[in-house]
Amino acid sequence: MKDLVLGVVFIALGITVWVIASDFPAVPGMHYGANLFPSIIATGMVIGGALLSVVALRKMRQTHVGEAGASGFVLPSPALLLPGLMVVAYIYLSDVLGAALTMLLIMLVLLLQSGVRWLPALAISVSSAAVISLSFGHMLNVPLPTGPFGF
Amino acid sequence: MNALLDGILLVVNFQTMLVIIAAAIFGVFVGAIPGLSATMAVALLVPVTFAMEPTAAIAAIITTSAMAIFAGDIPGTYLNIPGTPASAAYVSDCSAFGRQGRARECLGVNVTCSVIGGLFGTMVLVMIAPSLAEFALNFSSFEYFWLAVLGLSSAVFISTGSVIKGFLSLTVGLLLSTVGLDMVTGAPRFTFDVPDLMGGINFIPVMIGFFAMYEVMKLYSHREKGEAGKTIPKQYGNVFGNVPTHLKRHWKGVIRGSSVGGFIGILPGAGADIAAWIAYAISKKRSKTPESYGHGHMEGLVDASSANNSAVAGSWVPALVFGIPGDSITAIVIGVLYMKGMNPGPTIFMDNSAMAYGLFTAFFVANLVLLPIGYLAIRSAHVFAVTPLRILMPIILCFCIVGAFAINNSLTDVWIMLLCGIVAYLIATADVPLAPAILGLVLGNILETNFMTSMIKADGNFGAFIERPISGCLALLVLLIALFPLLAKLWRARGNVPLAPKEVTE
Repeated sequence: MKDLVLGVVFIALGITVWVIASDFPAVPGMHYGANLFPSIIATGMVIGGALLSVVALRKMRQTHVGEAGASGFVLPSPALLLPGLMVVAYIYLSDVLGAALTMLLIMLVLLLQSGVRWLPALAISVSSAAVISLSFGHMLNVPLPTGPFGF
Repeated sequence: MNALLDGILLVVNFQTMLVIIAAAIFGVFVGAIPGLSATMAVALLVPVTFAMEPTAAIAAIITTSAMAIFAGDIPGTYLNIPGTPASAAYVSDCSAFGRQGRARECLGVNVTCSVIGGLFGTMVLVMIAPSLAEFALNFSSFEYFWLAVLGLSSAVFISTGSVIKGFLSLTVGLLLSTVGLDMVTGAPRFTFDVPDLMGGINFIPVMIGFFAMYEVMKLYSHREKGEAGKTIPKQYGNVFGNVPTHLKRHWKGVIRGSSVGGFIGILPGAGADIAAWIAYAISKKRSKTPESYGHGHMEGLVDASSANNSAVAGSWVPALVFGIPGDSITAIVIGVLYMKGMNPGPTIFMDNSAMAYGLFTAFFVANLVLLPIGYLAIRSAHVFAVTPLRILMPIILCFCIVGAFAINNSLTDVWIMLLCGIVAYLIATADVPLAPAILGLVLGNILETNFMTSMIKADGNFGAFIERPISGCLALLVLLIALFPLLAKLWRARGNVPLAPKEVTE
């Protein structure tokens, strides 16, 4: 089931890439140009996706259809979204709060979510945020955004 | 001779040695914690190496990767969880020793074999790379095109698991490599009017997304918090006491494993994990007692743990000489070499000979440092078992963000890192290997430029691709590798053990 979905996604992606690539200009006086390589990749995606779907369909027909559908998917924990959300939060908050403070908050949220108690979580996030912003910001001269408190 | 001395001095000085030792400790730590791979260690290290001298930066990467590959055996022995995919081949043997209370003895043999394998691989690198470079001066765009194809096809066909999925993973990487201005026409491709994308996708954020962000997401996707219940059986004996006896009995295995590892390393696209699997399979086939493999047998362990470290050094041969990565670690290395002005290619040993000798020295030093640091790591192994991932992962996430940002000081790279982490999570949960995607990204430009140049040179005649003798041979080699799954199937049908594992997805 998973493989079938993946195969279909790749077919769709391949077609999209093909359509976008068909607008790329050609080298004057030649049959091919900027679109040649993306088109080859798109073809590969469609063929690979189709093969994967066919194999998955054949496997599903061999095993009983109902079983395969039910056992193919185990929904991941909703906590899966957390790390991604935290990165988005960093992108938007770091300019306002400063890199160090944002990182501190990110680590605190993630640690508390995974069941670490308040005090150790706070200690770990404060010290790690300090180490990361000092090492990157000062030793390696990365211009990390500073917040209203100057760090 | 002067260049040799200069090269040695680039490494043997206080600062670089300090970097090497710090990198060794970092490598042990990341390698020994299950869920953090050697590739991830190197990907997280790259932003830190920006401020360093070129030689120190390269030495740090070499040491980290060598240490992490050995350290992957530590949790394998104590907890039956391979710390890195390269240790997965012989994890059942290691853990059997752990259960018998002989973990230290087993790891002592592992670290010694790793050092011997690493030094052997370094010798291979030192002897083969310069002469291969001289030969490679004759290469034209046709040969480089075939080399890139060779790297990509070995990543797909000799990888572990499904060939179709490996191929799909490759197309993702190739597609990412086409983002940016086209080199022939100058037209922007897939940039979606984002100015930062005009120059193409920087692959360090992609690496961090693929190998670090993905691991963080994987941890949070598990419903149960399975941290408890890790107990280590009581251990007896000292680390190096029985090493001479074992080495005396299995010295052939050490040599065989090291040569197999070195050779597989040199093959573009195949790295330490594949080397370990193949060395283990060969050892089992040649052994008088193949039935005891997997139940705590020293023989296969000696072969495979020499092989994976030997492959680490061997995989630098194609990376240095052709700029074609041997595995996902050297894919990162190539990026670092370019950033440090040490452009990989056949002329590296002429333009930059001191630096090249420095690199060789770094390999020797890194493998020798493996002994003392490895010894300390084995003695303090319980630390790795109790360091919970749920505390490390939030810190790693912050490293990912800052590391991705630090490459160009741009938030676009943080977005790229995030998106690549999500893509990696989605495709890896469907058992798609990630390494071909990385190789596709690194080799995509080389492949396309050389293909287009060749097409223009040959005026659209495909026959020109196999007319030159070297390019013809390379094309034949590609064909052989494409037939590899078929050959492996035949080999298995003759009643041999399966060569490929089931679950490793890197």
